[in-house]
Amino acid sequence: MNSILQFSDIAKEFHAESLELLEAMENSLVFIRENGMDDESINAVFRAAHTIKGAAGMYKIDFVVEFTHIAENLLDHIRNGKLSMNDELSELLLECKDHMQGLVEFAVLTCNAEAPTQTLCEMTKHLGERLNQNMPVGTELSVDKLSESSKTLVTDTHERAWVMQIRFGTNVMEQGFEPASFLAYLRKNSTTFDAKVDVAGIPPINELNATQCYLKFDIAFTTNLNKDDILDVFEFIRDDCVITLEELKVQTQAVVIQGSNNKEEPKKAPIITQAQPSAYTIRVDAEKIDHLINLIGEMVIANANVVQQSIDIKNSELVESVSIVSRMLEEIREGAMQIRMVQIGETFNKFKRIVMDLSKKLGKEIDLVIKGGETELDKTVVEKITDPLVHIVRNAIDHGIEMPDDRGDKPHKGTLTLNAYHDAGTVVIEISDDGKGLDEEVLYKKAVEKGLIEEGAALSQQEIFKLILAPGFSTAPAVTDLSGRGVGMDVVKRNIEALRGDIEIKSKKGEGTSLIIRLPLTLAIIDGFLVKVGETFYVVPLDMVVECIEISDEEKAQMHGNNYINLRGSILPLLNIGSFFDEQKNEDARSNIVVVHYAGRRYGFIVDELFGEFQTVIKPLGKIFHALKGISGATILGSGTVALILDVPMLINFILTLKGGIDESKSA
Amino acid sequence: MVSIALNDNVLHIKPEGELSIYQVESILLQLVPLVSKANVCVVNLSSIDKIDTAGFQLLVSLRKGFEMMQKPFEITGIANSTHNFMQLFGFDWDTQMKGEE
Amino acid sequence: MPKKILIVDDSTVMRMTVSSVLKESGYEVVEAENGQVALEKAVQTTIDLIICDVNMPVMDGLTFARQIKMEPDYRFVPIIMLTTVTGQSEMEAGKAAGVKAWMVKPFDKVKLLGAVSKLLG
Repeated sequence: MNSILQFSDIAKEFHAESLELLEAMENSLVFIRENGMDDESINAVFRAAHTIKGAAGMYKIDFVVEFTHIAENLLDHIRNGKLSMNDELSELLLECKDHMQGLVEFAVLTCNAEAPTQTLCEMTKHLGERLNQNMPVGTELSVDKLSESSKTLVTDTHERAWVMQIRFGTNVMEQGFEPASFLAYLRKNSTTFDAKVDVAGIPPINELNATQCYLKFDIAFTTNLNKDDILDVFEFIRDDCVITLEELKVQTQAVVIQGSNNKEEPKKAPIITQAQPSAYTIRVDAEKIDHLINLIGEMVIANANVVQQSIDIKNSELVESVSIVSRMLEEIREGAMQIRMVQIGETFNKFKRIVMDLSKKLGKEIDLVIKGGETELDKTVVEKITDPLVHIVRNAIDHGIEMPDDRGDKPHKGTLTLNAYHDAGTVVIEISDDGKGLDEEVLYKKAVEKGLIEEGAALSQQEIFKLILAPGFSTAPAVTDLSGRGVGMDVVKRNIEALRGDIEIKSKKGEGTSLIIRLPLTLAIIDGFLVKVGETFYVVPLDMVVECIEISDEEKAQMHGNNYINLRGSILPLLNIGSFFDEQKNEDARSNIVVVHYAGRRYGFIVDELFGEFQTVIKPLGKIFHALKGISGATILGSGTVALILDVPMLINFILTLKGGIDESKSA
Repeated sequence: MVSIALNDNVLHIKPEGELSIYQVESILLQLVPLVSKANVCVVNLSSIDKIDTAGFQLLVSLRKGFEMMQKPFEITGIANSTHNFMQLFGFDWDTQMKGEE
Repeated sequence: MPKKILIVDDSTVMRMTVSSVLKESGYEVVEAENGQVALEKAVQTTIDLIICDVNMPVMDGLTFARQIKMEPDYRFVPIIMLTTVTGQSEMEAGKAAGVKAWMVKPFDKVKLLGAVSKLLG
């Protein structure tokens, strides 16, 4: 009765599709038995059950829904890792699959006009009980309680008055949503409706982007929809809109009760006594969020301790409960971190003005191209990166892009591009210009002149480029008031390093320069990979780890004095963490390589023991450790021991200087 | 479809059929070079049977452009469907937008 | 003129059911069993709204969504994903493809009609 279509109309199709799904379910279950569970196959099993339940639900085949629902519930727990799959379970699920098939066949045969046979009912009961026995405590479903699972929509007959303010997201129309349709829908479900459009945001015709939405509305309406229903009207676009919704409390009713027996007054204009604001975006003091994240960080540490102890006690039930807590904690952590994430677009947009003003001042013509504005990163990072970016942009305009007449074959108008994207757990911000590029010779000479390097020193191209970041270096013959006096870029470098970031410079003479800044996504917590060298624990940021290799004695002999090995045909530069940090020599144990990738290339760290993934709350090292190279922070393990977090970019730099620059093409 | 003509410094715009997001971009492209040359703008809406938010914004934006240049702007022939749309938005051509400058 | 809705789903049962619900409410319906067929049908006629499954053989829903959005006539046509898929990563991929409206199967008739009406006015 959910539709004018009757079950008999689709019985044939339902039969064919269900059999197909059940076959897929069986295949996946058999696959799981033979090869162990993977996401794809358990999802296929779940989807089959879910789809059959859905179709059966639409045609009120209750006995199919009832049984499939229990099976699906169990599958959901397995899928989410709350229950682990074993042979007994997969056997049971195969039996369930057979039974589902029996139920489907029966429904099709009888056109769903008859109640299932005694045998089928008993089987449902029997299998249902066995499924429930496997369920985590408190989540069992009773076989007879299920019919009420189809939610009936209780409409609130009480009419209430609301005031809503909605600003539509700029790109809703481009996504195919018509603001007027949503309003019309709300009006249709309201008894009174009074909207007022605010057109102040629409620009004049010469600045209009015709497919963007600039509108804001104030809407006063009365409806018997409840608050969630009202917000649901905008469910598809709510992420992009700013909505505030307030109920206007009406006192009419109270007056009537208090007064006389005159009960016929509902038409009277409502007396507004008090408005209850219920905003749907909240501004929160950043400090509160920081505090929350700090607490969660402490909790992650405390929990690591609990995990360790539960393992030591060897109580499997405890281990399981603890692992549930850990997983939830992880979710909480991610949720909390998400609060801090903001898009970089707003920061980028600030540069429109800067570029415009500066280019005008210098008589240059420059187009600013912004890409990846939707890339999200930690608010603190955004705040701290803004000033360095301003400096880099100014530098590019001042020194990079030439005057229109000096640009030769290139377009008169220069282009400055700001781009942001995520890459291997880092955020990359690129500032590129199509200006004159860096001149290695000039830079080299200049650095010698300034006494930054010795005449004749062998520097790689990258090292020469990085000279512009050195203190006391300025390439402009005359110091302009724009990009300062050569202190700027040095400060830029320091600021970025303070964020655990790194700068790379790419440049081609005559074609342009790109500064590529890599930053960590967040400052507080990272997923780490725990290793041990000598007596000390170290953590390698997990997203940089590619693989781990055990080294055989044979390979050890070919390690070229710990400098590099041949990894599947390409050279892998190595760093012996033990000798770098002067750990006690323990040559026998040192037999593992952690392969990391950074800035598009791979490197290997030689360590003693591998311990696997570990969630790391970064504790900054005190000032006295400032001079310590190769360590970016510390963390506390479950056991209370301190582990040091490796500063991978710095260590890789060390490898590169050590090797005097291994041939780049071979090691890539 | 739309007919756009600049006669004696008067910009005549008459959209026909739909004035929706599928048309606004091309109409905008045609209009922008003409706006600065016109002294008066007259938009005749009598032949449209469907307008949407994008179409509405284009009209308001056009009017803002003319008001900024302190040149007259007129809308004529608001037919039923357009009228209903304006009503949904609670927008009135005569009273709204005043006091914005 | 009744609004025309394209239903893309490899399940015949699902297509027939959605279709009958929509027809009952006065919409015109075009059906396709996968993204490829849907693309072909879409260029033959004018569609006001698309209701689309995610997992389908030949061409899946998200690929279809991305491709149809490139057709000039379909740049602004709303798409509702009606699917059993509820994974965050799929939803993210959907958003990247310009699909914001997700509904989960089995669908509720009232909700589906509500969503259609919200998007078509």
